[in-house]
Order: sequence, then structure tokens, then C-alpha cells
Amino acid sequence: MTTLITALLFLLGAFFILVSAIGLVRFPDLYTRMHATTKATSFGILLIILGTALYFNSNVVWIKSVLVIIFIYLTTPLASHSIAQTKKNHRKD
Amino acid sequence: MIRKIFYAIQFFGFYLFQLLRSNIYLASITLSPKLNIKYGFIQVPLSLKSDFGLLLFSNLVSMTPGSLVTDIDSAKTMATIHVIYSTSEKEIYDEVQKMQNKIKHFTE
Repeated sequence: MTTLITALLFLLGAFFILVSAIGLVRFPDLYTRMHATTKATSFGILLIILGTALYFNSNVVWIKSVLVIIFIYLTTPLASHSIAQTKKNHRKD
Repeated sequence: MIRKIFYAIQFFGFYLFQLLRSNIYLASITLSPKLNIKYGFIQVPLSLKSDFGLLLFSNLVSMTPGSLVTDIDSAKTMATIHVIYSTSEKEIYDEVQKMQNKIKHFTE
């Protein structure tokens, strides 16, 4: 049963990362592309890490995975924010 | 103090719910055969004072469906938000104001 759930979580995570890659190609603008890369990649990584934590199911792995998830969710919006700032300051006249 | 902890737990649940909703919305936009999206910038006045509240607010806005904080000016009074919308801009504006009130409950 646990292997089935982990397989499902891995597949969903891979699907969301694929969605963000497709969005990166299809969207017309820098900002709209940043929407796809900010939201969908972090969610896909969250699902994959949850799958690994469920598979090993020990305390150390749970603590480490929760810390990794918190770190990723604190830093991904920062990265997109700084990309937008550089775009704003680098406007060609 | 107990009230603040309760509001913080409520905010965490709200954050997880928004995360699921935004990812489903983004997948439906990205995989639709016709890409008819409207996008633009919105200026929102900030009512939060503390830096921690601003961090939580920008994180939450970046994880809600179709909005992303691109700039906060140096006086911390206005935030520029980039929006992909399918309904109307006013709805998103009201939603952002509601979020600020939620965060204000447990940071101040």
C-alpha cells in the first residue's frame, strides 16, 4: 500500500514539473513565465519529498524533509522577486 | 497569545489550500489548447507594519492562483503585483486585502 502511494506522489510531482516546463515554453512574457516556474516546480518538489519521507518512514527522514520543504518555500518567491527587480532596473531606453 | 496561535494554525491551513488551488489552476491554463490569458500589473496599498508580516504576505501572494509580487517600494507602502486573471481585476484586489487582514490578526 505504501509503495502505491509513493508511486502516485512521484508521478504527480513529475507531472507538475512537466507542467512548469511546458509553461516556460508556451507563455508569451517574462512575468507570465515566472508564474509557471515559481508555483509548479516548488509544488512538484514538495510532492516528491513527501513520497520519499513516506517510503523510508523514520523520524530522521521526516524531520529533514520538512526542513527542506520549508527552506524551498521560503526561497523560491525570493528568487522570482529578484529576477523581476533586475528586469525592472535593466530597461533599455 | 492563545488566540494568536489559533490564527497562525488557521493561516497555515489556508496557505495549503491556496497552494493546491493555484497549482490546479496553473495546470489547467498551461495545458489548455487556446492560450487566451489576460495579464497586467496591479498596485496594492500595504497596511502591514512588521517585516515578518511582509515576508509572509509576499510568500502567500506568490503562491495564490495567478498573482506574483514583483516589487515593494522602499517606504513599504505600495506593492506591485503581476496578475494573470480570467475574471476581473477587482476580485483579485479584494482577495489581497482580505489576506492582509488575516496576517494582521497574528503578527500585531
